[in-house]
Amino acid sequence: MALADIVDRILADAGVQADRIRADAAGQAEAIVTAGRLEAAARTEAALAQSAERLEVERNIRLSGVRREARTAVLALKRDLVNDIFVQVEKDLVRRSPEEYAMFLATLVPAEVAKVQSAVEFGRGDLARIGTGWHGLVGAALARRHPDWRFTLSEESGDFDSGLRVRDAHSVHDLSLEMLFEERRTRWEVVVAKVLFAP
Amino acid sequence: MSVLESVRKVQGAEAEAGAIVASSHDQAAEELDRAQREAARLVDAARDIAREGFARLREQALREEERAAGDINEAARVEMAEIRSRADRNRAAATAALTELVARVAENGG
Repeated sequence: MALADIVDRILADAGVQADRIRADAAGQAEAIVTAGRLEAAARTEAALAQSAERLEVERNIRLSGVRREARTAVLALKRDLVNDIFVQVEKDLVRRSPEEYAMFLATLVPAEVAKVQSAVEFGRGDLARIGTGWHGLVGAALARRHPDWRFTLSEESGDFDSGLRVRDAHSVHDLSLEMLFEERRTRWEVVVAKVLFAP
Repeated sequence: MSVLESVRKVQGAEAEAGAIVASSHDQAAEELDRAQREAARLVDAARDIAREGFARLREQALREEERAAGDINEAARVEMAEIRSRADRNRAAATAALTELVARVAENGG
């Protein structure tokens, strides 16, 4: 082989090797960039998915608060409307004629209570509304309803608004209108609500 | 040409070949370095894209939330109007029902 051929061969081999090195590097570089692009896309996707999930959770929390407030407002309205009926009926009771109202209160005294000697107290509101004649009216009504009952009428009014309170030696029977409604309120509210909100 | 000159020519060619290969290694290293930097830039840019995406998602979520909250409040308003209307219509009957319950207590002697 001539010297020139040897030199050419050496340079040609070097060129081939250099091309291969550059080609390998280009391949690796492309792989690195592709990996970077994939990682970037994966990170973006993961971050967005996490954000969407977080926003969804936060939104649901806030919306459940809105729902709760709306439900509370609806229930409060229903409660107020039912309460209005109770207030109305209680007003209607005490606005009856004093005789009729006294008779009504007398009917609230259970027969077994009327077997024991007792003292009867009056509601402050009744006394203020009807005046001094109230004692006599209630006394007469109680005597008519429970002819055998031995009771005394208290001069002082009790710490309640309407109705009666009966004390004997052993116990106190709260026959106030407050208690009449209070004791039965849960049950009666169901009945009133059913009628009041019927379609 | 003497043998010495021939040897020197071959050595010169080998040196030149070495330089060519060395240069290609440098180019390859630069190429790889550029690729690493580009990959890092893409990953960095992903954070910005995610931030912008989050801002867009949040805006969209807030709009949907406002709409949903409006729907809930509107439904409650309609329900309350219906409740008031029924209560107006049935007030007398409900009052009568409660009066009847009270009367029943009285009839039963407390």
